[in-house]
Amino acid sequence: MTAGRVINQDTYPIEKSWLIKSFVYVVIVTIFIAGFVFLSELSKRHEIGLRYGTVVTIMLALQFGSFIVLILRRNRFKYEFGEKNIIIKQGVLSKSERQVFYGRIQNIGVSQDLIDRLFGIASLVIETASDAGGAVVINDQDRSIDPAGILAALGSNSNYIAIPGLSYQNATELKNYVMEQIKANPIDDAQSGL
Amino acid sequence: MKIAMSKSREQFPLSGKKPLKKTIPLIISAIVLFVIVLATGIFFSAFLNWSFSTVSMWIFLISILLAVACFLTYQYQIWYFQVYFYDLTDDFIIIRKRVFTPREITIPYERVQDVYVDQDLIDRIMGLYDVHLSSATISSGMEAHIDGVEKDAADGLKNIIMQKVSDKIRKAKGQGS
Repeated sequence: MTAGRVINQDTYPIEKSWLIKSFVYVVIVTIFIAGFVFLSELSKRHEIGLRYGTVVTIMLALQFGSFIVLILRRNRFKYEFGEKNIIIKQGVLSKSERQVFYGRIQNIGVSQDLIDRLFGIASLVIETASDAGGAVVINDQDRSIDPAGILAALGSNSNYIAIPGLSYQNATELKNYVMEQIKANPIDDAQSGL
Repeated sequence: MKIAMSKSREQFPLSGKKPLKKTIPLIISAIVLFVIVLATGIFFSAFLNWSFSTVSMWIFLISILLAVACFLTYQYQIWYFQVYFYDLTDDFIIIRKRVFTPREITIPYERVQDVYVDQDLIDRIMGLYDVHLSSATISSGMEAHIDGVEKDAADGLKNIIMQKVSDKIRKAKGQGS
């Protein structure tokens, strides 16, 4: 790795296919809930039309609302992997900036779910031992407008930062970079009890 | 499919009994289910005058289904066994598993909080051990384990992790002061 190499959301972007993946989830969840509501309405056997239409419309609106929030969040999500720390900036309405020191990283994860594999993308998750992240309240707000639960996995959250939708190769490169930086920035106290 | 080999897996191999061990709970429940189906079938044909051929056809179908389920699970577990990857490098512990939705976790030695070895009932019967280790995060506790190794490998893994962790911490302390 050369020093002075720029690692941020432009050089290692969250792929567009990640949005498509989220959209696939939105569609699947909508179909499931709509089917469920339809069946439960059917079992009552009276005046299905109006109530069913209302429920499904509200649901669709919520789902697409959360999808638009997702696009905004992806656009507003900035990160930079520096020499000593990682800087994460995020937020559409309320902004936050988080610094994570390499020496304080507890573990790094790279994971893929089924749709990720289809698109050849992966999520990189970097965890520390803190529990704040300053995103707890934002997270709760997100949940209320995000029935599919697709927003939680982007950016800094409780004790981790997640960068989803990286191409698999980018995710691996970033992971290797972080591993090198952990080696280059050793901690001078021992938290481990061993 | 090729086995995901690493130096650590060569030195401390997973036991070949692991796929079977992971299938045994299903086999047991399949057998229990089969017995229940059999008893129900006998009950129906004896007391409710169902025709014997219908009942035996159903019993046959269900047992075929159960056998297929067990077989597929076993095949999946073999596959799982093949892609199971763990490597204890100089600075990190890397564990990667799962076939369709791969998950990889990397933990620096300095961050390991505890190492423990455990066995459940089937493990004890088959002589297998699970080696768990975790950093201070919840997800590492759930994901970072190497399970289905035999006694030598379990002891070896445990010792080498303990050794490396204490080396690392001593080195880190030395640098700081």
